[in-house]
Amino acid sequence: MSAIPRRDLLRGAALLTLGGAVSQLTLTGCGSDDQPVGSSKAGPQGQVVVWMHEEPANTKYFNAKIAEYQKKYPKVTIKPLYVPIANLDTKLSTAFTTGAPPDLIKVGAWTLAERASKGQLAPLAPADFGVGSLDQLKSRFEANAFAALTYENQIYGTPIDFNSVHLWYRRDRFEQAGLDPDKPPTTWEQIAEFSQKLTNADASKVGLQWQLADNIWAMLNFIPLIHGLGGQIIDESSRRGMLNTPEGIKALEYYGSLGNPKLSDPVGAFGLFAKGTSAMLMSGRFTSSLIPAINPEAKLGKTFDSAIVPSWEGKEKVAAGYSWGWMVAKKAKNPFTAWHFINWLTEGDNVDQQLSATGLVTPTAGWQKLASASDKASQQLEEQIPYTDFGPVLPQWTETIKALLDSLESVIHKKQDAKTAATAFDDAVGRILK
Amino acid sequence: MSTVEARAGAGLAAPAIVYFVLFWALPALAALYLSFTSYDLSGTPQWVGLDNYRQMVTSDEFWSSAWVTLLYTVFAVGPTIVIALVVAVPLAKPGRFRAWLRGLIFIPAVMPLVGATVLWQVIYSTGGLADTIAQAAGVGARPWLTDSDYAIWALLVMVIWKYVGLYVIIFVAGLQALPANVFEAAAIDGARTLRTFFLVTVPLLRRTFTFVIVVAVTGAMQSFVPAYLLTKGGPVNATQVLPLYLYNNAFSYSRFGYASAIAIVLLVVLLIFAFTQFTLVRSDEE
Repeated sequence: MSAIPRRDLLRGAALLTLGGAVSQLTLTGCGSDDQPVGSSKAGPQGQVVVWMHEEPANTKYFNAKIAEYQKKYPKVTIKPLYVPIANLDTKLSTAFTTGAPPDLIKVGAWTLAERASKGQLAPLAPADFGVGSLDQLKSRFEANAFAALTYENQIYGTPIDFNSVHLWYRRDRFEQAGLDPDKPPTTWEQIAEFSQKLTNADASKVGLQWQLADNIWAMLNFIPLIHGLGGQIIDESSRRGMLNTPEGIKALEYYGSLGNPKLSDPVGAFGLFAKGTSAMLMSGRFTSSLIPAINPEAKLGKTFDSAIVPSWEGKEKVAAGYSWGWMVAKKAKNPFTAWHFINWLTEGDNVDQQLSATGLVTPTAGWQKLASASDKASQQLEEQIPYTDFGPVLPQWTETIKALLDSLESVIHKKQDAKTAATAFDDAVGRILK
Repeated sequence: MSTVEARAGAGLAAPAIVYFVLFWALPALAALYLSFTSYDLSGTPQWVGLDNYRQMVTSDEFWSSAWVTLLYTVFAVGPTIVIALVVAVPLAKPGRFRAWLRGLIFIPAVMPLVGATVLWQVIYSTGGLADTIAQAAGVGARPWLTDSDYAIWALLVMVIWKYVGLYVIIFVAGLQALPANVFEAAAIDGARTLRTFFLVTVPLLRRTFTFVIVVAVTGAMQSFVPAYLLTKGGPVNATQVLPLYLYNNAFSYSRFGYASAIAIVLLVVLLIFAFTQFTLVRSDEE
């Protein structure tokens, strides 16, 4: 075969380069947005792209609110994209890396530190909310509402789906075990005692069942135990794991002593609780609607109920909480309008309507007095907010909490004793945060 | 060959070359470069030399995942091929009923993996079908997905069920392409069924076997979706295959440099395997 002349090759390469450049220009042209962008002077206008996870009730509600907002502000177009929850973070990471993130995102606050540390998020600007200072903005929400949304003294989002984890218990199982369903346990010591009475010989029915195999729930179940004893998972200032301490080991031993990790259900611990296999569960306010959705025979107040998070005898109460947040990308094309829309969602009857339609709490000041917040779980959430802990705020949150999950699983599956698992966690944190 | 022919050849090969360079060579080179860096998808990658590889060989989790991957590959590929071949031999013969059975056995292969996984989660749940069968067999209920001693086997059963139909179809195609006169000669010589199968059918299926083994092994070694969906790699990392470990490092922990190093090691292992396999077959043919 004769060689291809160099001139032909160069010509081909030049054509390819030109073709690439043309398509690049074409693509750039398609992506350009000639619409005016909103500002405090011009008012909300232009397009806002929103990415959030897919959830039927919330999707329906959010679409209705978009239509309402666009009717009120006809110069604005909100373009939502609902992504399956398991894919949202990956899709966002890709979008941020390629420099084309959406304007507005709704994500778990536990991912905030990572995104903020990479400079992907814009800190809140009071002017975008029509207030003079962040303190003024904060005063419109519950006192602890921004705790999970703050990284290195900067606030990066506003709260939505705000939850503090409390105790859920099966009234029917309590009655069967001769326990008073109107007197749920108030201490961790009582939880252990009740659990023993609620567990049958082969542990096919148990008392408290932890939520296993999931990072965020592992942390939410464990924080009240270790923080309630005065310990902590991580010392954020020295960036060290703190499980190998008397408090950490006691909390791990306690964690490993309850429930049966070998029980299995397609919906996890929620399914076990809904079917009465487990009699107690640590979970959030949404449990009141989730359990009847899994098992229509389970009725709130009759079959199951909720109570304030237990504490250790003689110790302060500590609840674990989580929040999702609305956040605006640093490279957002229309940040003013994005925040204007979110601000509007917290005005008037919107918070009440949202709670009623989706079960999601936006903790604006006085939310607990809304008609849709009159239920027991909402009142318990409100009571717990002042002592709710949102866990470590770290850019390496996912990897750190996966290390915690590994240690918790090792203990509860009897693969390691508490001391060894605690040391393994502290070593892992040393490597992750070095 | 004339210049015109050479140009025409180059022109015809260009789409394949462009595809190969853009979607294979460049990403592979980028991954190789990233494997020597620390990169979290923000800023620029920082050169760290062999740090990622050093970290990999000293990581217990990496070796645990490598061991799980080896188990997964051996016990997914071996039984799948054996079952597929045993099922394919009778199904390769003509007949409307057999054609219908071939369609039936292919159903799991075309089912979406997410749906199939939900089905198996129900089967494996406490008091589910797996428990019922185990109890009827006198074994008793087992924590299929929640015990590290059982979870990998439970995962493998699902994977074999899911993919065996695909290999049955490949073997059926291979078997139907075999020359009939060889089997007639074996029959005239008085060879019995088993003898014919091992001494005639299996050697003649060598090319099909090579294809199936290479595809199945590379597929198994790269597979992470079944483990991700069924067990999330748990309990206690008992089902965390190497690609899932890679995925977690890349997309959950934003450690793209380390994840790229794992990808490169995986690629090298797969290339060695494929090269060895094809070399053995070629030398056998010669």
